[in-house]
Amino acid sequence: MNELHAQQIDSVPPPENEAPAPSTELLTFRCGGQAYAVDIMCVREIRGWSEPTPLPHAPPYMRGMVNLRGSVLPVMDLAQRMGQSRTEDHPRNVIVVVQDGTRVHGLLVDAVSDIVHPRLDQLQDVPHVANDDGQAMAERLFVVDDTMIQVLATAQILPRVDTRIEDHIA
Amino acid sequence: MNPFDAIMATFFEECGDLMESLESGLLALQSGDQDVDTIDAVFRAVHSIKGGAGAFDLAVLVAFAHEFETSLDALRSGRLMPDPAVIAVLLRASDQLGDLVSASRSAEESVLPDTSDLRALVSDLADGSGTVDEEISFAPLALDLEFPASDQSDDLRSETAAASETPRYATESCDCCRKWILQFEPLPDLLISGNEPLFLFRALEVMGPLKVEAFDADLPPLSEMDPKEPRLRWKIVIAPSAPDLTETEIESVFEFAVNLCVLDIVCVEESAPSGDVSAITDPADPVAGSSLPAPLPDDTPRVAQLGNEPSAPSGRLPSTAPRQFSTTIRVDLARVDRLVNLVGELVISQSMLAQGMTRAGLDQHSEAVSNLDDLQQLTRDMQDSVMAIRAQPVKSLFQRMTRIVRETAQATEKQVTLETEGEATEIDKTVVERLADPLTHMIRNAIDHGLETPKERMDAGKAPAGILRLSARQQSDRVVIEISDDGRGIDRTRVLKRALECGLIPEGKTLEAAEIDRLLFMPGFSTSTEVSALSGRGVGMDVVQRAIRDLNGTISIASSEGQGCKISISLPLTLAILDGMIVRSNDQRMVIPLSVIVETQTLSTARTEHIAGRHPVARLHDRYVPMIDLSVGMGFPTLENLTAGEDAALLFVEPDEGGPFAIRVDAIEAQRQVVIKGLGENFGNVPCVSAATILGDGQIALIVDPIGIAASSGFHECRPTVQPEARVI
Repeated sequence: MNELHAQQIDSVPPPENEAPAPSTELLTFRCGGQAYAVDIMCVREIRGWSEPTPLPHAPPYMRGMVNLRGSVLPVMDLAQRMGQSRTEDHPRNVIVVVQDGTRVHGLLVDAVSDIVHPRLDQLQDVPHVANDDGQAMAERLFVVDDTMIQVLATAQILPRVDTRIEDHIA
Repeated sequence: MNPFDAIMATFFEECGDLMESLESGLLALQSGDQDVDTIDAVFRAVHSIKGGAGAFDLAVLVAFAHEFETSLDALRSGRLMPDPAVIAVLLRASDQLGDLVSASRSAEESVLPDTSDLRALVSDLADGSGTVDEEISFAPLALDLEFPASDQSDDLRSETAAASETPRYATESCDCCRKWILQFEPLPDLLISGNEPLFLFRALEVMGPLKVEAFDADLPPLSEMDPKEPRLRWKIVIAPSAPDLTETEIESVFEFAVNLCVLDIVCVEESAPSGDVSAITDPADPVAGSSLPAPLPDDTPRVAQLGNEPSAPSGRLPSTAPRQFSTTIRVDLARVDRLVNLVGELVISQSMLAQGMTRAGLDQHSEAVSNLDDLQQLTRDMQDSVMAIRAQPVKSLFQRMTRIVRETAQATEKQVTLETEGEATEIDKTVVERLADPLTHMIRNAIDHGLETPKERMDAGKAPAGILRLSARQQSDRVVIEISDDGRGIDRTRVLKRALECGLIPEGKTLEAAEIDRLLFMPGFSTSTEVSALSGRGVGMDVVQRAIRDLNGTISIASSEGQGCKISISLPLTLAILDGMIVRSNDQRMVIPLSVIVETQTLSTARTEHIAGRHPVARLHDRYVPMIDLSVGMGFPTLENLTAGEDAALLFVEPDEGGPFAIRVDAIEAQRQVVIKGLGENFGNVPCVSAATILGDGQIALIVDPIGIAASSGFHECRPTVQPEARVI
């Protein structure tokens, strides 16, 4: 879908005073002093903070897991994942539950800000700044009230998991 | 899913059941049970597959099933004797049919397998089939329904037309005393929308033999007939092959045509099936019997079949006990899983409630507390019942293995007799499914490596045919599955040599026999020097072990030279509940499976020492075993002060792999059943953790994998440290 957006933006010149341009719906939130957004269709729910149970041998940004109505939800610190310092525990922190395919993950953020409807032509490509990981995680940028908001690529933020053992059995 | 796909999915689901009854029937025949019922069941299975396949235009499947059916028909009519050679061909054919079904299911292109041996079976016999499959056209009206495939129509017609006269129909139908009568009148739009009564009838035929009658009474003169309008009405009588056929199932056939026709479905209980009875006791029957070259002992079984009729006199054979109306239903597994999850939730919230009430300081004898006890009892019962829904006998799994044995024996040119035991043992469905691959692997190994060739066996003074035993039994809350053979056993010198070559063990180390046997489970171990097609592909027993361990199971091996080898797998009854000890370490609560704990000691009374000044050990009875702090073992950042709190305790665990060791915890909190929450695809493989659970207060606790801890702490020299997991996160 995102590729589709990209194509549309590349090929269609910005509409001038035409009928409402195609727009998208994003959930924006703050985290580590930055503003981010995800496609609202990826967001399953937003829930309050609860102390996660840590996982052994996990990367530092994996905060652990919490009980999401009876299922085990992995929670990662989005700020740390984006290369900033660890989010301090605060009861006002929230967990944004995002879904990518069959995988469900919690993103620990400072606060949820808003739901915005930018037109597709308001979304900018991420400038090519470096070859590191951080760039791939944000797929688009847009500006609201002078603030840059990074639209995150859900599939990129979630950690990759290794393949299950059964696949190796002939 | 569009309705057609849904019907097709149902068909394939049924095919699975049919293949199962086909195979079990053939195996029964092989073991000498030559009951007419069995032969009929086998025939019906193939016939139903063919019928269904016809409805979905699966040409290859139809063609093959038809060949198969022809042979089975010869068997059924007694022209072919079910001797071992014949059964072997039929078993092979059933394997091929199974392959074709699965190929069709995944919509793969498939070619018709070689049916020459099937044909050879019947070609020897004088082609007398014509006399059985008499061509009788539809009685009321000489109207051919334009069945395109002639073989299909032959069958359908002979069955339908022969309904009231031939013994053949009687044997097929009389075990069901219920019939469904359908009145089917197409409306003018039926043909326009592309529906075709023929296909509907074929779909119906899957449910059982049909008797189709067309009404031509109100046909207009030819000059007034509009070719685009359906004019015929039909009456269809189904003698269901499954006694539990429901109206909804029949209606589902007409799903697309539901607004385009007038359909009337009636179920008739045939209390006095006089026609059939007379057909069977017809004097023609003995005549027919005597005219056959090798008549089956068919008089008694037929009487026995008669016994299924409610009105028939008693004196039935025990093998043909009256068929009960089946009380099973097909339920989507997702629904059962949801129920299992909900009950898990219930258990958790109930224990939260219990904790809350304790905190509120309610009197132990108050009404609320005693009600809570009742609730606890109920939830426990409910939990057991829900688990029982998911339980499945291992029979289907074992049956699948017969094929593996057959194929492997053929490929290795060895003679193998498979003995199975405890097929009725029930185990969680998921476990059954996930056992298939490891079991296949182990059976191939046993035949390929374990069993000797007939000549070698003769030389060793054994019977030429090797025996492979597959047994299952329940042992308290676990199910033990054993695979044993009477082959040559593990060649320990060879294993040791190979392990040295692979660098799996250091030079000059002496190992006990059991330790050598255990080497087989090490990754990368394979004694076979050349890679055979069957086993020895490098993925070996270690993969089997991983698969078993993923099921919370354990595996062990015992072998004696020249006598054979036995692999035992012990599995939990369910994947949903675990008995565990809840412990606290470093302010984290974790669960240690009770099954591995052999002893607990308080730290203050335990005898602990340090080897080389830093490796702590603890004394268990008369030997010292390694000791590790739980948090350290799990790789959590630890608080420095390991000063023992008052509650600190040692848990001595002995996983079935590697020796015992001690786990130090800050406190033992409780011992209780916990609901297992798999980490699944959100996490991948987490070292040292087998799953998670939710405790009474809603917090998540990890379920510790002791083998993982031992491995990552380097306790077991024999086992390399846990494979560097590809955990790029």
